[in-house]
Formats: sequence, structure tokens, C-alpha cells
Amino acid sequence: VKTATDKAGEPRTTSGAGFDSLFDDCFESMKRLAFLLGADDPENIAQEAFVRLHARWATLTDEDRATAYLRRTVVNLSRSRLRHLRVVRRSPREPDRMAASAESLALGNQAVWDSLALLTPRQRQVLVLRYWLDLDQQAIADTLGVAVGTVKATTNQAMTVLRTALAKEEIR
Amino acid sequence: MNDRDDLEDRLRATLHDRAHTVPRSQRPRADLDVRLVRRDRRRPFLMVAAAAVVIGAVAVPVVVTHRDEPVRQTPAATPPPPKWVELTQVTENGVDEQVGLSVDPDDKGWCISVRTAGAKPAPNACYGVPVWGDEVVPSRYITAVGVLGPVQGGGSTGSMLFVTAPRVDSLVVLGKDGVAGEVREVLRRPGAVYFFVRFAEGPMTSVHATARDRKGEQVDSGNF
Repeated sequence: VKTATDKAGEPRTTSGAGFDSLFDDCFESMKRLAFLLGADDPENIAQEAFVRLHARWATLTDEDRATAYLRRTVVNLSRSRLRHLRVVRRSPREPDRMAASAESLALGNQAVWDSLALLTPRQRQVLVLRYWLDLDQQAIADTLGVAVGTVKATTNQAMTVLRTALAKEEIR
Repeated sequence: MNDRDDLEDRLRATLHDRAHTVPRSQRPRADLDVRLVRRDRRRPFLMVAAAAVVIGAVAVPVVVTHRDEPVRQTPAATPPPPKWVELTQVTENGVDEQVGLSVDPDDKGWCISVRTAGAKPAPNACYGVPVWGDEVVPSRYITAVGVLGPVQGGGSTGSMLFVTAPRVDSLVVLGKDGVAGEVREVLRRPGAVYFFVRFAEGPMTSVHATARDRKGEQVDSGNF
């Protein structure tokens, strides 16, 4: 996942090349982040995150902060979207445009993917930020607005849930 | 390699593989520009609206004083939407539940909600009312969502809610083999019209909707 640390020296303007290049570099990864967090409309969430970033562009002093702001916004938007969909058992099966193709499903580990659905939203966020975005614990804590200790504990809990679920799956 | 490392590797590989199943957007920058234009358009509108209130407060007494003409009544504000419009009823695991539509007081969003007898409605899924017929993107005047998926112990339903632009007067929805859905207009608001559509045959994988205005002219059509 590309970050924008190499463009930190650009001047901040309300729009322009800096924002445009950040959009080009990060839009797809932010959309994927929303998808991995379980959002049903990742495109919309990524777009909304950039709209909000655009409004705050002049106040962000460097692109590291801009990227962190984007990540935080995507996580928060995904969480609130999931809250709206909390009665998911009642939701209809819409044509899933983001559904993986049969070929791509074969690429991934279906059991691991299914097990992610057993996690709480916070546990899933921690794992996605760590194992997909490769963020360190401090960056995860900053993104989620929690203490580093909470990140460690949540990671351990999440891994335990996954390990247990996968063990059950293998017994079957 | 120990179990922890193995699980971490599997997790990392799974997330990366899954992330790559998300198709690239066709024209994300154009979509962003549309959103930014909408946002910027709303701000001046709000300022103009605020200014209009101030001017109205000053100008009306002047008119009354100097012309001595009957004061024209300002049109009554649009009444707020009803808190709940029932769409259908279902029985799940022996429990009777009502499924309804609730629209935000500002008409900018709406939810499909579920409630049992005596309880407050619980929002199931919420959506924003779109900006209809935006001139930047190809005009679209219809959106649709399924209302209910399979109901545990209660069979399946083929219910959808269509939300259209206010200029839409009628809607025809056809399922597979051209079978027509039963269309009921449940609510008409300044920002949108809400149609409940039910297929007796059950859920449809794809339907085709055609919206017409009062004169019978086609406003929009599409597959959902």
C-alpha cells in the first residue's frame, strides 16, 4: 500500500497537485481498506473520506497527516456504516459487486476470511490495519484513538478467536 | 514456523488476496469532483437561504406600512414526514414484525426499519436521498434496495423499495420473464417519492424499472 511520505515537502493548498497525487495514490487502497473492514459500500466510503480530506486539506501540515486522517476517516465511516446494517440477518442478498470471483476465491484462504466475520469490529480493524496496511502498534492506536496496550490486547483476543475458529474448521 | 507465525502469514495472504478482488473504479476522480461540486453548491445555498430570511423579516413590514395592501401569506412550510410508514409485515420465528420506512425530518435520508408490537422501530439499513439528475454525471432518477431477505421460519419475500426523483409520477417494475411487480406509492416528499414493490413469485435476481412523469413521458429506466 502506497503512502505519501515521499511528498511531504509540498505546499498545502486547498486543492492542486498534492491532493490530486494523494488521491491517485491512495484512493484504491482506501476503498480496499473499507472493503476489508466489512463495509458494503467501500467506494462510497473512500469517496466520502476524500471529500472530508479536501475540506481539511489546508489545515494538514504534511502528507503523513493527510494519509493518517484518511485512514481514520475510512475506519470511522466503515464502523458507522456497519452500525446501520447491524440487523444484517434481515438484509436481502443484493447483487454483490464486490464479491470475489470464483477464481479469486481460490487464491485466498476461505476459512481465514470466514473467520474474520466472527470478530468484533474493533478486532477486525486491528488485524486489517496490522496485517494488510502493515501499521505498527502506535500507528494503529493513533488511527483507532486507543492506547497501544489496547491494540496489543485486542490483537491477542482477535488471534485467539481466529485460531479457535480455524481449529474447529480443520476438525470438520 | 510456529502456529502464530503460520496464522499471521495466512491472515496476511488472505487480506492481500481479498483486497485485490475489489475491482478498480472506473472514474473515481470524476466522481469525487461531483461530490465536491455538490458540497460547494450547498454552502452558498445555505447562505442565500439565511440571507433570504433576514431580508424577508425586514422587507415585509416595509411593504405593509407603505402600500397598505393585504399581506400575502408565506406558503406553509412542508410538513415533516411521518415517523413511520408501514411497508409490509413478516413473521420470523413465530414473532410478528412490521417493516416500515422512516424518513429523516430534513428529507435527506431514509431508513428501512423493523419493529415488533409496542416497540420502537429499529433501523435496519439507512441511505441518503441522492441528488437527482446531476448534470455532471449521467442523469439517474431511480434507486432501489431490497427490503427483506430470506426470513427465518417465514419463507422468502420479494420486496423492494424504489426511491425516485419527485418528478416521477408512476413506476413499472418487471421481473424475470416480464412478470410485473405490484407497485404501491407509499410516500411522496419534496425530495423523493417512495414506491414499495412486491413480487408474488419471491425475490428477483434482477428487475427492470421504468419511471414516467405525469404526462407519461419516460423519465428514466434501468436494471436493478
